[in-house]
Amino acid sequence: MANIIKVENLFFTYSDGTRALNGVSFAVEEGSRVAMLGPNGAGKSTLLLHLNGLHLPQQGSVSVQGREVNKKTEKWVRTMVGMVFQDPDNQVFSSTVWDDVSFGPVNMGLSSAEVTSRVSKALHAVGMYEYKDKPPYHLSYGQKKRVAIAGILAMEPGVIVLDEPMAYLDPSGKEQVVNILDELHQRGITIIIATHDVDLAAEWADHIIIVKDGRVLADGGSELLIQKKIVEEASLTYPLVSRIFLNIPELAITVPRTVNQAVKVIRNLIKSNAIKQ
Amino acid sequence: MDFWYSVNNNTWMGRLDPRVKIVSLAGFIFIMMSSDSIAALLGGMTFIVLLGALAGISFTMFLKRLLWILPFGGVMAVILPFVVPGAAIAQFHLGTLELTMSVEGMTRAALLTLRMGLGIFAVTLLIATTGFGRIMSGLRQMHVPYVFVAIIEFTVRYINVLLDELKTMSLARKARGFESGRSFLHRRTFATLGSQVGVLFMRAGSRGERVYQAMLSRGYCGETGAVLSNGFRLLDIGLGLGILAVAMFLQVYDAGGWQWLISLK
Repeated sequence: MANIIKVENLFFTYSDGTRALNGVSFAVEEGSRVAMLGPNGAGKSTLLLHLNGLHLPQQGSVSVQGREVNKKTEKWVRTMVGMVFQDPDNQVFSSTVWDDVSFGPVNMGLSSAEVTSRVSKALHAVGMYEYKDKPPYHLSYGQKKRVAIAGILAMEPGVIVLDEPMAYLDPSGKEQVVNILDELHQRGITIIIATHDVDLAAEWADHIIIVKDGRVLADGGSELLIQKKIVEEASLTYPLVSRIFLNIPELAITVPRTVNQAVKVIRNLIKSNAIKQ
Repeated sequence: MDFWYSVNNNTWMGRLDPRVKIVSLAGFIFIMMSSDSIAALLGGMTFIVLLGALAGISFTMFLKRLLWILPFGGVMAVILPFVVPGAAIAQFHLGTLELTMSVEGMTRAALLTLRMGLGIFAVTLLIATTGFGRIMSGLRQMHVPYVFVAIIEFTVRYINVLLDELKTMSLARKARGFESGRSFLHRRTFATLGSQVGVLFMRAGSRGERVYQAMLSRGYCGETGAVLSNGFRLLDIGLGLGILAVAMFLQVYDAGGWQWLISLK
């Protein structure tokens, strides 16, 4: 598949002198599920803001669908790459859920019939349609998060970027968001999340990018998450599933990263009589 | 703040176009405020309560909203009889202090109370039958400058977020053993509360930044686009004019207009 996003040798320094990005390069394939990990202050958020054209490259380049992001294309980029912010209170600002979700489509200058159809579709997709006339502050944190996601879905971008999508959510809220992300993946939307949750990254992502000190430390599949050197350098921990198997080196198997992989491994062990029933 | 939103008024008053309601009720308040007659103001209030009754708004609801302005208006109404000079009707002695109530003062206080009441009643009727969201979109459709509408919307949206932050901050203060309730003049209390207010200010500022960024990322460029508009019916205009006509009638009638009307015959 073609690369939908390409970042090359990107540098960015904030006006107070903090150097946030120090030559970042990576590419994202269309339709993939990317998890970006890295310690606090590694530059993840700064990087995400570049993907949406909210920050423009000071050095290096970002291109979306082959078009370079710059002053001229920033408005277009915002309709192509949707950004869901960490705190939904920052994003959901209108007086009703419906108004908020229609904010993006109205800014895109769509006809009112098109706006209505998109907003209703987006609200259905996140299961918040019944709340359309509610004011946002009456909603729970998880519901606000889903409204924030709907606000982006309604713009129908090809790429959705989510900053810490699971932060502060309760277990069922997390599950709902994971289900929404799966649904979006089915539809062929490219999804990029920034997260500290290694278990989520291992279970969900098919592309892992680990960022540290404004650079890409490692870029590949979920096998990166069980490489000692990378995990230590990026101040991560192993996924819970892997931790169990890493403690039994005598098994001499490829360490599983996901629950499904682990189940398969254990079944095989039972079959081969390595574990007595 | 529930009453701002949870409005699904399906009476004729609720279905009336928000723009017509805003203009006619604002006009009603404007015309009635110039009245110097207790009877006319009472008539105006009765009219609003009647409209409310037709729209299913209870009288208690009106009275409850009236309570909200008591801390501001009530104090004025209590003080006025004592400070306006005129014919004395009662005298109080509080130690060496001598307070005199005047007839003129009483009248002024009554007029002030009624005017406030009328304003509150009309605004309550507007909000209770329209809802905050529709009032705002009505204002936008009337081409009220966007900044003005946005300020109202953002205030209502974020006041709770900020109050929550304030609450969390006060809990966090307590959790580290800060004792509140001491005199405000206590130096450390003052310094602590002062710096917390400062922090809240900074946080509000940076939240504003983030909200703006999130708006930009959804394609905002200084104005919201076209608002979905549905034209108003002739009936709407008729009802709006009706409300204004009542105000005019009360004014003219009270100014002795009825004698003038009779003499026309």
